[in-house]
Amino acid sequence: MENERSSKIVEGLSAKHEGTEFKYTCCAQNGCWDASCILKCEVKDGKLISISADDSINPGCPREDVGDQALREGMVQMRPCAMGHAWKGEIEADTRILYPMKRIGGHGPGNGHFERISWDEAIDTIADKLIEFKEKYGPYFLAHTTDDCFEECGFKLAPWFGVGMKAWGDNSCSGTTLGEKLHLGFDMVGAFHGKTDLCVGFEAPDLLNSKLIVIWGMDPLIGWYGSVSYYMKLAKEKGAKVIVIDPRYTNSAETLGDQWLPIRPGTDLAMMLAVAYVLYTEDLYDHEYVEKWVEPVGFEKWREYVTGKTDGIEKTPEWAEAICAIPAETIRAFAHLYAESTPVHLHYYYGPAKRHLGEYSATAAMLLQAMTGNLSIPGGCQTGCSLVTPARMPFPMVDWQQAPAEYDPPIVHNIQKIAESVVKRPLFDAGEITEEEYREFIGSPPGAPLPNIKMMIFENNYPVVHHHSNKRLQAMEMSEFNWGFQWHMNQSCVEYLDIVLPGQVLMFETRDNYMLGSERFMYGPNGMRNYFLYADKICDAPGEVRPRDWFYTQLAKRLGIVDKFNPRMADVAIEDWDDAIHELYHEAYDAWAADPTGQLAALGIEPKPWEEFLKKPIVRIPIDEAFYPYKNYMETGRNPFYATTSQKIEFSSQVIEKYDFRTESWYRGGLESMPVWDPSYMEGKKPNDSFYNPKAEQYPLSLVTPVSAYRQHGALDRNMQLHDECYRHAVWISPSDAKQRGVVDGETVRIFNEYGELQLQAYVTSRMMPGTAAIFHGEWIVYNGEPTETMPNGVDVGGACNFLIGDEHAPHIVGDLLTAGLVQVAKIEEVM
Amino acid sequence: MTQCGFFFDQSRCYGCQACATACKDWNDLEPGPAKWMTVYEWETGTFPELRLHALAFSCAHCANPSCMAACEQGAIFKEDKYGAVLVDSDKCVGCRKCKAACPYDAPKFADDEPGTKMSKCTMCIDRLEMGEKPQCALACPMRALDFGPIDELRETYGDVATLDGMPDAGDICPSMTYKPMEVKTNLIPFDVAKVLELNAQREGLPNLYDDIEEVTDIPDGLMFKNGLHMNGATAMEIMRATINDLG
Repeated sequence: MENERSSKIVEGLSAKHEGTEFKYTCCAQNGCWDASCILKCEVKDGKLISISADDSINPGCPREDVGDQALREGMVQMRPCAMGHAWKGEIEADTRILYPMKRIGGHGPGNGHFERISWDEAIDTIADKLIEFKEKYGPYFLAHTTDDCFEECGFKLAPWFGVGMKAWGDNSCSGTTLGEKLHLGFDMVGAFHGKTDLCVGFEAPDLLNSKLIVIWGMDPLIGWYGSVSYYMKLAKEKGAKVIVIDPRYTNSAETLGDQWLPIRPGTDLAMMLAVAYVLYTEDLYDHEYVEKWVEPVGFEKWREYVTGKTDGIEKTPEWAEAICAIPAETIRAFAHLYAESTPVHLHYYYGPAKRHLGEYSATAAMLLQAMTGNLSIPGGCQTGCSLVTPARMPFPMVDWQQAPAEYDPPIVHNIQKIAESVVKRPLFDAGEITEEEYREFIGSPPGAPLPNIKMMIFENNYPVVHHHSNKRLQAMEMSEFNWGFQWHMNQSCVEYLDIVLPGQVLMFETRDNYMLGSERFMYGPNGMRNYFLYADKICDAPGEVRPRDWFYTQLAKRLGIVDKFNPRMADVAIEDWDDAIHELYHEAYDAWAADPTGQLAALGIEPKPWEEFLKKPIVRIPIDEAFYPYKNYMETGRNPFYATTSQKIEFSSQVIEKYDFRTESWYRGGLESMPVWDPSYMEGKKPNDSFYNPKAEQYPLSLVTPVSAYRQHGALDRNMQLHDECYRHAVWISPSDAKQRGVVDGETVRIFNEYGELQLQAYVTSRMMPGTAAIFHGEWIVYNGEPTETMPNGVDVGGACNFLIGDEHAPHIVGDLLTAGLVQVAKIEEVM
Repeated sequence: MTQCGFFFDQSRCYGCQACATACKDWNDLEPGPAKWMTVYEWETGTFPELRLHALAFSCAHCANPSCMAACEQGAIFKEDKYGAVLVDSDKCVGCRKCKAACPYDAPKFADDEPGTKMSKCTMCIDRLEMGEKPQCALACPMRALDFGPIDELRETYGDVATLDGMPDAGDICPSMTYKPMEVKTNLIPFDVAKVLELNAQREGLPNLYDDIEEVTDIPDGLMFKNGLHMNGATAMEIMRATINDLG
């Protein structure tokens, strides 16, 4: 009887999995640490049925207790997070944009509406506008709001059509990259462009070499997801000590940490200076390391600053305690533990450096790692971008046979200043600001041509994922003609586009190249370089959703440059597109598998035939010795710091000492040569987002805006498998702040400042320090239709945190993506 | 019959919901309170001394299931190969007596409508029959879950029958074993009174609070996630208790 009943249940459960097959891909991921987690996708008749975790190694092994050797070799699964299991919610969302559309009327809510058009009309319109604008405005009218970064131009056809610009800077770790460039001589962007073989990253198994792990302003379980956070846990279980320094009691603080040190937002540098004070005055620094790698004059100069000889203020733990709200005794004990625990993986993350004066704290963290000899050793951490580890094996690359570039777009501004370039341009044209002032506003390299943006391309959620949403929206409204791919009707960009192209769910519905030039042979992340996979197309796209690369190829045809942009696919019909791409990957795989250099054989890789490979398209090899920062230089006797002026680690940057950054660099602002708490050019004023800025009387809560566990920046926001299913989007506040405002958990509150206003539910939690607030970034805008002085389209009841963050930089350098601010939270008074 | 069950390592779980999402994805369950695998998160203590508890719980597939005893329709039964507690939808009338009987709220209902049939964790019996393990256990990024014959799990991981904050199981004999969250010891001195004192001041700006009780005294109703809410009466209550604030 029970047998019969259970058989019936098994039959019922099995029915939805009958006749299915399995294919593999990874997420189109960013913001979770680009982890290339492996997704095993169950498909039937071109439809995605389910997603399971990686089973390409240790299958059927939930606990994956594979032993120390296999862990050190990285022979473990790459399991996805909740987002990785939720792509069906994205693919099948009823808000998907299914057809090309054109805007009738103006930009912005209430100013127009959309009509469905054909792909031909969409492509013709865009091509005509490009030709017209090139004639009318010259080459510098076009900005790509996502990919004009890292000193690159995001418009894919720029090299042959001859329009477009580059932007310097990045959206990831702006404060950090400046510090490591000026003080360590590591240029992350240069490394991306192959200008150096310096590798400052680390692989996850190297964490097993650390005695102490300091997770500072970092929530790795969310923000550095994947093998790194998992290995931090393993390292702790195997005896490493872990300290977490953060204004929030993060999930990482609980799960990974031995001890939490709650620190006030934006005061990290004060604590670092106090730690340096202890290291200098108690002679606890690593003399051998400093002697060998550190430029001595700068080292002494920073000592003089830290010990108060420069400005009369000793940066003692007692000085720092009231600033950071961490007792002096604790700071001193931390310095002692830090000094005696080598190797220390002290990892100061990007977030706390993405605020006013954030470069200084990012730099100070690197200098501390240098002082203690932890910067470039096994189990240590460079604590800059901490990116870039070398490839462990060759992997297949398609030969697309693109023509050499005929046009090299100039760098004209900073990525964060694209909106400013648009908004301030009429003031410059009208003579209300000088050219020099305009250049200062936008981070213009001296002598560069000026941008004159009339057309913007959007392929993301531009206004919500970067600071100062209102200014970004203003620029989008002002720009004459906008187009791009969008995915959902309620996405925050859509109403500002003249032509909307229906966006494909990248790693599932097409075989388009992944971002930034990566193809579909997806390499493991910097933290685990021992595998790659072929991320195949998984399911059919709905409606008239078509591949992005197909669109650009058709556009190139209209512009007469298809033979240069994509000659091998120029004549492929849309019906045959995905198969033709697949064949190019097949060809690339075969060329790789032929092993012309013998490298594969040397690594013990025995390539399978293509069809066999496709059944489980993952190649994984054991790591012999995990990469640690600068390993490739340290072990070959090369100097990793060759690129600074002194060819050593410069505690005081000689480049800054020599040049006027205001006029002679694209940073266009003041910058001290070493990390100081009170830069002279601030003239005693507090940074705009400081906990101690007098503005706090009006806006008393210090806001941080962490990366979400359920959005990849702005993507996946309306995924119903995640939103309000796994999480609610709320403002975090402490019980004391809630009490003072008469607010309880779950109540909708106002969050506002001089830049904007949101309404969100309150999450009342002791995990927040008193006087602080947190809103996770990337939520899409939902206007309530009631305009206010700061919110011309109404208050945002969706909750895009970037409405609350301004873009003031002066007198500081431009270029940071800012993620912090001061806000007030208030009860919504009922209208009687 | 070999009674199978789950091991849950609370010290590794950070409440990410990958297990719950993978479960719903595999079983094609709509968003909403019918979370066969349910993840809870709650805090204890006050600033700056607090802990964050997590619990990923599907069904304990008890040796002596109270839901089965409570079901007047005979809809709930114990399958005899793995010991899974299953529900026969044809017999279920949606009376919710099983829900009232289960301390862990393992019987799930997709909505509050009268007559909505119960559904629940099946132990992935369809996958077990194919020689696979349950989807939730394979999905955990921190490898916090294990599955197998409960005797073997107890031998491997020890026999910890419950976690702090969980409801009393009575005599239902849950097929579960746990590893509790870690006992933490400070690595360096941390004077809590001093921390609270420092947190009150703000240089020349107004104090954040005048009395440390503002921080440490939390009146009822101010917070929600300061306890485990495992038995929500309505869909809304269940959703509130089973979603986190990480997005």
